[in-house]
Amino acid sequence: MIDALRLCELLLGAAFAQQSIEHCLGPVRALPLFLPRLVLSLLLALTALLALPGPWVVGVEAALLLCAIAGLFRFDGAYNGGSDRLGLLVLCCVLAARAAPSLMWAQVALGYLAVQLVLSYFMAGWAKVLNPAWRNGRALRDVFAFSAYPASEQLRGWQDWPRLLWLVSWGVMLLELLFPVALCNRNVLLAMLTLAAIFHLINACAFGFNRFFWVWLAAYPALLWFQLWFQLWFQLSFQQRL
Amino acid sequence: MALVNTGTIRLTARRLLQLLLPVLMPSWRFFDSIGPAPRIDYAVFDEGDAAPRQWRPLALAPLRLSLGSMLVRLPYNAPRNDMLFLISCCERVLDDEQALDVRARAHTEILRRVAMHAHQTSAIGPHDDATIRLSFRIRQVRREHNALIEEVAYEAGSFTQSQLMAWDR
Repeated sequence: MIDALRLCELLLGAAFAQQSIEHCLGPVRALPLFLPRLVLSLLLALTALLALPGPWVVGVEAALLLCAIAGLFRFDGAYNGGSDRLGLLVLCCVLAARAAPSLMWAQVALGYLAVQLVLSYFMAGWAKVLNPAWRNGRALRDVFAFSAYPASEQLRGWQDWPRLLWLVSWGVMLLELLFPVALCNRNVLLAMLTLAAIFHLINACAFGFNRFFWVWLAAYPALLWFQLWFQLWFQLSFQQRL
Repeated sequence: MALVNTGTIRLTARRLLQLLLPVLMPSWRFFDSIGPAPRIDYAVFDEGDAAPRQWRPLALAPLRLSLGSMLVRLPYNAPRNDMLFLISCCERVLDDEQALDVRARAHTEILRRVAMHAHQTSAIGPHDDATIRLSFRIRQVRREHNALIEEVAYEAGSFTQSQLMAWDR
């Protein structure tokens, strides 16, 4: 478990550093808030890389949590929607795992992150499949036709490919809805995570959602660890029933 | 004094809970429906003008992006992310159920970027602060049956940059 935790922290440090650089160099600079966050993010990645003792990591993560709360007040919520929310959730879970009084509670904290990651795909798919506009491809056409999200005006031309967008809509919904199945098998999980990472990469290119790509990657190690535990638990309970 | 402090602490704690709960227990309902999409326009008023002469779009997406440019934006895409934040601000300004102070802060965030954009595109000069006024409006684009409908959902009052600096404080 500790390897998964360290890998989460390393990737989270990198993702937070990426966000902080955007805030420090971006159009509306917020240096007093994000320069300390940049330093702390790099420290988090470094502590994970060098496997420094727990109290150091807890200190850095607690300071990062304070920065994140200040950010929530500053922007009246998450600046970048879901990506900032998942980033903060990963931070809360790794901090809880580090500060937990026993191994069991540490596992609960990291397990909660893994379950939320699975839910992040499944609930997104569930919300879409309930909407007829997603089922008939109209929703994705609207995304390209008039939403504010396409990264360039040229991409709006995709609205003229309704059959392709219908296929893409169902591809996305099936990937999201079937994601929990990946818990049952290691290879299926690896395939699903690869597909999901490609999905985030395409979203980053087409809609400019670059932060989602980095932050979702940071949560993957927790799921890779949790799947082993889940598979063992599943097999044991199955054998007991037999 | 003690009463004020207790009240402030209670309000801050309540706000903290409001902000943290969606993080700890997210709904994860991304793009469940495609609602009206906001666009921001801004205008420069010359001295004595009652109405703006021309509305200009704020933060337009580029006409085209090569795959290389898209990939370069993977590690750094600050202008785009700021535009996404502006969309949230528009939604807050238009949402009657939001607290007044939250709507006011979203309003100021938009104003700040309008002033910045007006400077960068030389729509106003560095010494125009006191005389030139700026305003913005939010247009919404939505689908109605098979047609796309566009309407102005909000128009802000005009402001000078000195006023904006005062609000920022």
